Amino acid sequence: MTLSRQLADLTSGGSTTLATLDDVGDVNLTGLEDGKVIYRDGATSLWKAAWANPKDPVADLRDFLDARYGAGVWTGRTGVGTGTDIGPAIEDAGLALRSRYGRGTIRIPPDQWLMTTPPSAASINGHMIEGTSNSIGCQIVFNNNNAAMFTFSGAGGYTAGGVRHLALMLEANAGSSNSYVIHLQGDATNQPDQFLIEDIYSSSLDATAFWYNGFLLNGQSRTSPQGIRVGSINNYQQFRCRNMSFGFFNAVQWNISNIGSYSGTGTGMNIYIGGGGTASTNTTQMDITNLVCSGELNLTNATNVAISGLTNTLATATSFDYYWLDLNHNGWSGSLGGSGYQRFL
Amino acid sequence: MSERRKPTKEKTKFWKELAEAKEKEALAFAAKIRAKEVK
Repeated sequence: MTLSRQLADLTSGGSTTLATLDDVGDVNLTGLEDGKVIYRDGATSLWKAAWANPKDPVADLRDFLDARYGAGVWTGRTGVGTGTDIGPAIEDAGLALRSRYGRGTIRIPPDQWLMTTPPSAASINGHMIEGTSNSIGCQIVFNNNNAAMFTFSGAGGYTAGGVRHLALMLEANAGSSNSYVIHLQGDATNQPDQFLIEDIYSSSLDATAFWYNGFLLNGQSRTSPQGIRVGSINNYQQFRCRNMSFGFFNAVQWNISNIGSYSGTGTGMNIYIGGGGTASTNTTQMDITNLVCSGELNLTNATNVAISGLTNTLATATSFDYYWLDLNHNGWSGSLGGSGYQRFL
Repeated sequence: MSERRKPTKEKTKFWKELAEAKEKEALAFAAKIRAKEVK
């Protein structure tokens, strides 16, 4: 086989064996897809082309689209419900990282992508899923009205992980869906502790498509050590939900800044902080700053929580105790626990 | 008790205007994304 033939194979995403790297300089590389690099795969002794160096614990979505669908065959989202489903490729990437490194990063290049099949929690637990630019440039459109886009459970002991720098959008025509944006929930043994969320813009592609929930954290099934422990959210704007925008149930040691809920329907702009009603299932040690809640901020079953920001309405219960509240609200119902500081505008 | 006062006109206006502005923002971003669709 000639080197030019071998490079043609590389161009189409395949693999080949090159005599020496020096020979590459003698061959026309024009056909090699822009941006791909050649690397030596030690496991097979083959030279291959890829977007990301697989020696690093970083997976580029495009490599796994190439592997699953064929180089040059897949596309980004091209219209309502059309384009290549990236969910299976994210699943493949997560499992590949798991096999080789345990945990790693799955990079989503700047583009508009379609996801119909969400990746399993087992494949993405412990990984960081990140857009390569920011939440405006890297858009994933969810074409599924009855599932969670990203679920993390910590199963198998693969705690941690995160989602950042992405626009997570519900597809047009989804109507009143039952879908979630991000769902954190494990079992009595494992939970997705040490979680990071940053720079997320979530909405829908038409005025009648609504997520069911935006971000839902439910750590109530683990009581020792309790809850989903230690995490942060920074700059997360949630639009177009119909049940809740954010829910924190048995969150422990979470630091949250600049989250907002907007343009929902029903209770969809509400933000809940609560738990199961016992100390080991309630939320504790949480700090929220720069909050904008366009619905109801609902506070129950939690202790040692500090919140500052704006909320349209506020609903509280005496089970919300040991608190620092610094809120501008437009109507308050309920009562608070006996120990706390409040300053209301 | 002032902390429990009923909604004020001023605050109700603020939330109404914020809702309108955010609705416009949501529609504009959705339109920007959909503008890329291949017809």
